[in-house]
Amino acid sequence: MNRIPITLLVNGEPYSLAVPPNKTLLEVLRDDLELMGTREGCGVGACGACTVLIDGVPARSCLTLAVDVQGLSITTIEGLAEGDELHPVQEAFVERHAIQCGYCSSGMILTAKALLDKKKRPTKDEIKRAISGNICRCTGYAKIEDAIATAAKKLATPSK
Amino acid sequence: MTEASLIGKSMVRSDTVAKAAGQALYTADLKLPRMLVGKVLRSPHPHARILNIDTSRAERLRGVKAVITGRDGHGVKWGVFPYTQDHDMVPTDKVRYIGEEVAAVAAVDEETALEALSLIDVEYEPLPAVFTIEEALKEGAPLVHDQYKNNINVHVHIEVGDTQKAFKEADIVLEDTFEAAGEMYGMLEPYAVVAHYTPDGYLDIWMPNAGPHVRAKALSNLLKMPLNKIRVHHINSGGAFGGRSEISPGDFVTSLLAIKSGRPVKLVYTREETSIATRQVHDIVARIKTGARKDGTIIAKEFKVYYNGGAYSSTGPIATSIPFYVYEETYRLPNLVYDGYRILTNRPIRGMYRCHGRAFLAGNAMHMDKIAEELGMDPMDIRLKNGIRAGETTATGSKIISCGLQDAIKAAARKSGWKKKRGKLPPYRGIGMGCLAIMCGFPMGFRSGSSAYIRVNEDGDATIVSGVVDNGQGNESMMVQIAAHILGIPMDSVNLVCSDTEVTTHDPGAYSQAAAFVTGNAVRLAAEDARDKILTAAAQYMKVDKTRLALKDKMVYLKDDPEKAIKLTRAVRYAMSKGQHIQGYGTYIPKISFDREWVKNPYGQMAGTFSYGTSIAELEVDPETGIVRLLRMVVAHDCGNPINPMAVEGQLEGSVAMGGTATILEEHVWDGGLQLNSDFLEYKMPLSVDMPDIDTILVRSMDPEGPFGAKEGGLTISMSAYKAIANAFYDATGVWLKEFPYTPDRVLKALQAKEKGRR
Amino acid sequence: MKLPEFEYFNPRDVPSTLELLALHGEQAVLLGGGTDLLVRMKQGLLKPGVVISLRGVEDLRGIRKQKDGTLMIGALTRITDLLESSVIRRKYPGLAQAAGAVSAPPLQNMGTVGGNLTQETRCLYYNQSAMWRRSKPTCFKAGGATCNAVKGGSHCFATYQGDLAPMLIALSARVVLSKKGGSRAIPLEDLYTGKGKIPVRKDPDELLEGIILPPPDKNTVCRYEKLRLRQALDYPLVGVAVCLTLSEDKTRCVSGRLVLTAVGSGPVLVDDDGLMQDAEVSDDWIQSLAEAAYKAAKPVPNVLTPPAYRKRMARVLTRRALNRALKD
Ligand SMILES: Cc1cc2nc3c(=O)[nH]c(=O)nc-3n(C[C@H](O)[C@H](O)[C@H](O)COP(=O)(O)OP(=O)(O)OC[C@H]3O[C@@H](n4cnc5c(N)ncnc54)[C@H](O)[C@@H]3O)c2cc1C
Ligand code: FES
Ligand code: FES
Repeated sequence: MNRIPITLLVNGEPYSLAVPPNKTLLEVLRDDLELMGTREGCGVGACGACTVLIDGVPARSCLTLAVDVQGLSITTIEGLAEGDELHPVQEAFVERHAIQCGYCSSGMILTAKALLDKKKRPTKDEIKRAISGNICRCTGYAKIEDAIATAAKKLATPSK
Repeated sequence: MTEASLIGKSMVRSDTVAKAAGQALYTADLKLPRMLVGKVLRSPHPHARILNIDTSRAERLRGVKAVITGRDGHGVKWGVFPYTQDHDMVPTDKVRYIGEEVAAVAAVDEETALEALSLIDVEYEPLPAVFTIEEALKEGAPLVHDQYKNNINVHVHIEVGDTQKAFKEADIVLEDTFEAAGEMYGMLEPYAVVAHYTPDGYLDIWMPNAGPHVRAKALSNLLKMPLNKIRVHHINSGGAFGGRSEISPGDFVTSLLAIKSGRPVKLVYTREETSIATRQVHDIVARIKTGARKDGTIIAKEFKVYYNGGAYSSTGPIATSIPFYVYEETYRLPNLVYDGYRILTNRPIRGMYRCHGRAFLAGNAMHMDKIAEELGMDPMDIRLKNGIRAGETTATGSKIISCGLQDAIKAAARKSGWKKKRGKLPPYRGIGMGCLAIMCGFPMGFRSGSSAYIRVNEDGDATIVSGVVDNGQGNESMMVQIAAHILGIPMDSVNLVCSDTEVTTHDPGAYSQAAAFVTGNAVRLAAEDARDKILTAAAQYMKVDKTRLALKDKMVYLKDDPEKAIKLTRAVRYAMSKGQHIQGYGTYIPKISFDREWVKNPYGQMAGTFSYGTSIAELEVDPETGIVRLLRMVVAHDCGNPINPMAVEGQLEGSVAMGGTATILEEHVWDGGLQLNSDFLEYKMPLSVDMPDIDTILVRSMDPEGPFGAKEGGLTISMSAYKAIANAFYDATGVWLKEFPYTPDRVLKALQAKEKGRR
Repeated sequence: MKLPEFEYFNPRDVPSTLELLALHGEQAVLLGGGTDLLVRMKQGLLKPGVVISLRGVEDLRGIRKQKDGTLMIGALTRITDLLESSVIRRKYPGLAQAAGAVSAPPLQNMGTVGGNLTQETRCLYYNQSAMWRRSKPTCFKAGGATCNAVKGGSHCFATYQGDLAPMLIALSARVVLSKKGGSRAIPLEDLYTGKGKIPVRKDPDELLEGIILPPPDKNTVCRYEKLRLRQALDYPLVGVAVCLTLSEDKTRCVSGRLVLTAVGSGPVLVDDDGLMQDAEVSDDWIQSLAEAAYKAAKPVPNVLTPPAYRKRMARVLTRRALNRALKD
């Protein structure tokens, strides 16, 4: 099939590729860029495991054409940590035991980050709503909500 | 200096930094040179004879490197027990469910593999099929397998005491039938396998699994290969929940493709394939008769329980028994007859589930409450009265060595405001309770034990080698924590090499609640052995008596004079220079009856110990829409002693979702043999906004056998949450709703029936 | 699951979009947020030769007040944009409610108004993979001659489950459809055929440009009630939208509209038999409207929850919507 040359801006780095138009962003991230932290849980928009941030907004990469997002800024889970230093949201997920099997974690963490970028002190209900499109089969969500609240506090106090 | 304790502290899990960073690898993430894509052709028929399979067109397609059918296997059938070997993992005679494996291809890319599937011609002769328990048991019904008469796959019969006499003596006798639709495991990770075979006869394989050693053994049987040439590797697993314990047809198919093509093959299931072609949960119909005395003592029980087992045996005898056992481990039952029947149908394969048995267990819980109501007793008191205690023996002969049931009931009741609320909440609001026990480890004969090995390096860091499996529960981290604690080093000084069948030690796996109790004990013993060797060396070096020494902060010090200390590295190097390398070994097998058998002899010691739990649910019913809203769940679990309390809390909270919220949402829905909701949109797994507030309570019964007193971490809640909800529903509405799940249409129908009855 | 192959265009403005539509007509589909379309394409329900992505057509985005007091909502406006718009929240709170009820926030970030309104009808026996569908005869919607959901059904009964259309119809919105050479604005209810097989009445080369909302009336009250099993993600089992224009003293209903979703093959504008024209607000009146909704709801067994239950819920939700609208 015909391939379309595109430039994707992923985690701040430009990647020039030629992709068939029917390839999803999820497929390009995993197959071409080998960013395996973006996971497929359902492939049809129903679970949120494939969440990435497109211009800072959580979106389903399984329902996004790669050719449709050229030039936009894409953040995957690999783009959050700075070197060995986890992002405060990641740190909070680790400390508050919000991760069990870890399969939902990339999507959850990115969704949480987008929420906290927009809202410094979300209420419990706002946290619940923000992650209501992401399924976690392991945790019952309590520790994830707790981690997001903890991350909000971490972000509010300038780091050590 | 006192001994530093890591046990009982909420430690950061050793596996979660990589997961948070998105760097943890799961099977579908693996890439090997020249790797092919595998795809499976599945049966569109629920029951049909295979007349012919023509793969020639597919084989000729460019890019196709292997095509396999059942003829490429060795005709060996899989079964957990010698008497249940009936599963031909790629059948050649007939297909028995929609979605069953018929053929498979490996090709250079997904498009080619899919095209190749469309070029395989299969000729079927459709056969009449049975889907429900009722249909399968009908006189003259078509047989799923010829060897199982009336489609009865397994019959478990257990008899204790004189039940008929006891019913005669009973003041109250109840009899009801309860039904529950089967659930979906819903691991977020779709099933996946990677296999690589080399011409010298070695097979390397990766897949999410809960027991690598049993996988390797099954593959060795099916592929007729020696056990030590099959290496099931460690890989992260995106959830298991009781599934992923046995070999899956996908493992067999991928192995055959890798063998035939001589190249690595990756098979990744779609979500739909994961839900129709990996084992899911049994539908259950449970007929329960209960007899009690006026004082609330349960004196007689009679059970007839039917499990819709799908097309093959799987763990049949176990699945047919477990709901009964967890019940008899909870309450004193002097007289009982249990008849469990696993029925084969033309539905997909079924297995064991973390919340297995909701019709049976919730049914018993409703009877308990019904009796309490008739006698004017508090449902809490009837449970305290009938609840088993440490020192007692269960009906089938398991001795209870520690039991926090009474404490769990009381703690949950206190926290939930039980006394103020039960029977006193406004209309359509209710509160209810359920209790449960669980065995820490299934009896698996010679496979019931675990061993571990620990090496301490010259830098004072340690490596554990253990068969422990982690499907997200935190088992790996628990082993690291135990070893770090005993060796007096921080957790990040311990590396764990685990669940790799050619490297690591034997272990029963993580599907029978054995990890903390059995594997944890093996790692504890190995670490203690290593510690002893360190102290021996240090004693020689320091010229003191060994008993005066202890380990902390990577130092060996005198307990009575902590200022006198040497570095751990000094002790290790000293030992090494004497040729005494610091290597500890530990092995543990629980004290169980080896002559016990699920069908032939269901009596004797089931497991080394049992954990206990209580769930209390508070909910609200909308009488106009029938929507049930869970408001709060208070759950108390006796895990003996929590090694990592936050990890245990996480298990309890997850159990509230899977065993609790699921009670109002989750069921597989069918059109005959076709699953209507195999996806995450129509199958309703709870979302954040569906969850109640959760209070978790950890009860400590300090098990005399468990490592640091620990038992199992949370399953009692997965299997008691629905009990609490059923009873809370009655408290809210005055209706015993005997059909699960409590979807709004069922709820409304039940409320209406009650209204009618009143008029 | 792989998407089928297609040719891809990404026009930058409306005229070039219309040009492409004119050129490719029947074999082209428009891509908004993709949350309905790409799922169906992955399931093999649709294999368009050409996909025209609207993502770059900036003039289709946004919410604009027009000189005549009406509000224009561009087709590419996302559900999230509706929720974040202060005009919508203040002047059309009913629409904000309906938008908030669509799926869940991450999908609201992707889904567009145009895509939401023109989304396909759904059926448990149709929205399945190609592998699944092999086990059943080809149904009407897939080009066959049977209905797998309704035994003996003579046509397609697929259910329309959009959340925005009922509220927008209740608000008397008009929809702007454009093609090369001209535009038309029609009442939104006329966009729907009420037929399961082809639910949207629009030429293949027509683009939905936007929605026009009449000026808000301070005496108008609206409410959207949605029933679903989970409190997010799920499509409605039943949805009820009401808008009432009340007399100053709020004792009379001057005019109004009651629209249902998920209980038929299109949004159902309930024939109220004049009940909402200059009527006295009372419990009996509410009850009569609830009965009218009950009658108008015609669910079939192609959604998980049984039809008899959903039909009853049309009544219950209508009562609730009316009571809550009147209370606000
Ligand atoms: C898990 C999940 C849950 C969902 N839940 C809900 C729900 O609760 N309620 C609900 O209403 N929807 C729901 N949806 C469906 C969908 O997300 C929304 O309807 C969304 O608003 C559709 O918009 P879109 O832009 O993504 O549409 P697209 O998928 O881009 O398009 C849908 C259809 O509209 C056509 N189209 C798009 N734009 C135009 C235009 N400007 N002119 C003409 N035709 C056009 C497309 O060709 C296509 O046929 C759900 C979807 C998923 C995956
Ligand atoms: S994989 Fe994209 S939402 Fe599930
Ligand atoms: S941690 Fe396993 S799915 Fe969320």
